Amino acid sequence: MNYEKALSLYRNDKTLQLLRAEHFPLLVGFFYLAFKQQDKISYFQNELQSLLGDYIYSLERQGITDYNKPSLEYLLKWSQLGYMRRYYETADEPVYELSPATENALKWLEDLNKQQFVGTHSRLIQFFHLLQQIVNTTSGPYERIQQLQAERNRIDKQIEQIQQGNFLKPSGTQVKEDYFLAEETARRLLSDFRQVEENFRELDTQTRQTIIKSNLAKADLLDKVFQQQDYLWSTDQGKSFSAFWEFLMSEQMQEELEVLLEKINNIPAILEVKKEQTVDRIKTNLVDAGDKVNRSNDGLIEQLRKFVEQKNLSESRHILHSIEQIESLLMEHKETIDAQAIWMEIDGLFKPSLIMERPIFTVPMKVAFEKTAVEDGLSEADTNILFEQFYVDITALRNNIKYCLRNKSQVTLSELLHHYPSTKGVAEILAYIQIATGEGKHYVNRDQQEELIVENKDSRKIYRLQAPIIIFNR
Amino acid sequence: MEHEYALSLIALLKGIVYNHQKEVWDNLLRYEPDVKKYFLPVRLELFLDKSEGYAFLRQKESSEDEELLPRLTEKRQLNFLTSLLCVVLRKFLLEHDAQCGSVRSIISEQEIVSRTMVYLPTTHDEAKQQEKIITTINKVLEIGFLRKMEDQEKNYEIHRIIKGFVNADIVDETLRKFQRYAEEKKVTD
Repeated sequence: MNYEKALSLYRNDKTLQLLRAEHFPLLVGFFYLAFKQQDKISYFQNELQSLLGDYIYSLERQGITDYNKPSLEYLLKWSQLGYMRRYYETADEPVYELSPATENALKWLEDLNKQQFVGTHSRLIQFFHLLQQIVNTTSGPYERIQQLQAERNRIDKQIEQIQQGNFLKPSGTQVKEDYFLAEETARRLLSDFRQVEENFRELDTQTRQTIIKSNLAKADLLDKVFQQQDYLWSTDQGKSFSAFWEFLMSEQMQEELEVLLEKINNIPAILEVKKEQTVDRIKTNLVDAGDKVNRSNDGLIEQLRKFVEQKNLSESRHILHSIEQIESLLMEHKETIDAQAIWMEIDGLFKPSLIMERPIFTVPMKVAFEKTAVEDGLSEADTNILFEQFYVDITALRNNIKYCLRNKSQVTLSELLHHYPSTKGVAEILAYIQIATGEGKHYVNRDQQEELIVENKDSRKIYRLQAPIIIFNR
Repeated sequence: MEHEYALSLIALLKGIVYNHQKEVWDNLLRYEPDVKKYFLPVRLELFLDKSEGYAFLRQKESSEDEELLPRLTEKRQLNFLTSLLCVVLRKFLLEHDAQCGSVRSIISEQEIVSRTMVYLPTTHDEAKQQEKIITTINKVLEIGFLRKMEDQEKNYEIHRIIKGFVNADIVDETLRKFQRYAEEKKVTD
């Protein structure tokens, strides 16, 4: 790390940009609440949008009024800046997830904000074990046997000690320390998945770029590479991940983990310090996150294979070349082109129409009126009723909402009715509900109810009614 | 006579067959040569893209030494704006495929408009031009190259069957037309 490297990081690194972002407190507070506390990996747009709306509203109630744009605007901006990934899965609604840069920032902030004591001992031991493991697994057979024998002697000695009555329990500190280390590793592992996915995507893009740039002969070569095995899985990233997945999915590992977790939860020293459920939920969360990586990777591989397919690729290159030629011709002649002329002819689909299947012509029936002369009649109906129609003015209601939202980003229906008491009774409430459900930005919470008060203007009678909580957003 | 591939024949006569129509698709893959042979005498050709997962029938052009037969399907003729839109969408799909691995190619109305506008004559009434493009989007929607997404924003998904229709031959043909046009212009000027 020298000056140039630091400068380049300062200018370009997404994590550092996030840390300097104008909306930093909002970003971090919201991401932590929505993703970390809920243990969720991804959200649909409307879910996240209403969650952010609620969050901004709750900030406003605390007197923080710096954020007055619609919540969707923030989300779009954040995805554009690379704090979140926004993409389409199978639904027509975009999905959001945190980008690896954001995961990094959150991780770093959490480290910064550490309240627990720093366990140095457990880390040293872990470091030691890792070194041992590397040395052990890379040594020759003769050395390995020696190591194993030494280990056996040590274990034997330990058993002997315990049998003699010298059973040493680890101190509370030591247990806590180990537990914190486990917790931290679990959390890191989960947030690293975003990076794994990102790495796969990057590998994919790189491969595509190389294929495009290479000439046909090379592409031919690559084609063979791809046919042999799924390329992405044979990179270091792919191998490590598939080993992880295999281990995670093995029955033995799952059972062992269950037993371990159960035992851990019975240790008094741990109950004392345990605040979060990270370790308990690690299994489900790992399976979820890993499954997501798997799915997205399979998609990548399938697409990549399609892309590389020889005929497809050379045709694509040819088409792109032709299209570019068309574009430059159009640019040159765009003022004079004949817009009415036929320029492109594409295949029409063959649609059989069986002529004898059509119904034959039938003579339309003519209705003959017997009395053809029209005479003036006299109306006996009461026309006054036409002028006394009961009518709820939706535009007026919309204006009420707009007025209330002038200096707030959210307003509930009950608040609204407090400012503008209902004049048309329940029908007016229904109209508000219609507005709330008709426009995407408003939010109807069917899980919770609130009481609305409606007064009949003529009889002065007061009615209470239960309705789902309705929140109007700016 | 009983045909094992009657299912494929009927589905193809009705329109485009996709790989999510499991039964028909499997049947088609299995009897592909038979199905091809079936339509050969009436000069219909089976277009089958296995990796993208769709198939349809198209008119086979008769070569010179063959007897000239009347056509069973008419070509669909597209005017300038519709042609341009098809070219723009085809290019967008190519770029999309070259860049990232996501299966679905989604484009916003604004993006279509701004990519198309570049090739239209300069005008003072940009609003009218924009309206025209949007009308044309609906035409392309009708052909089946686009699908309107069910969301709040105006986004469209590009159907991958556009690859089968706006293929290398068609693009080259269109290019030749433009080239001829440009040359004639030069002569008259």
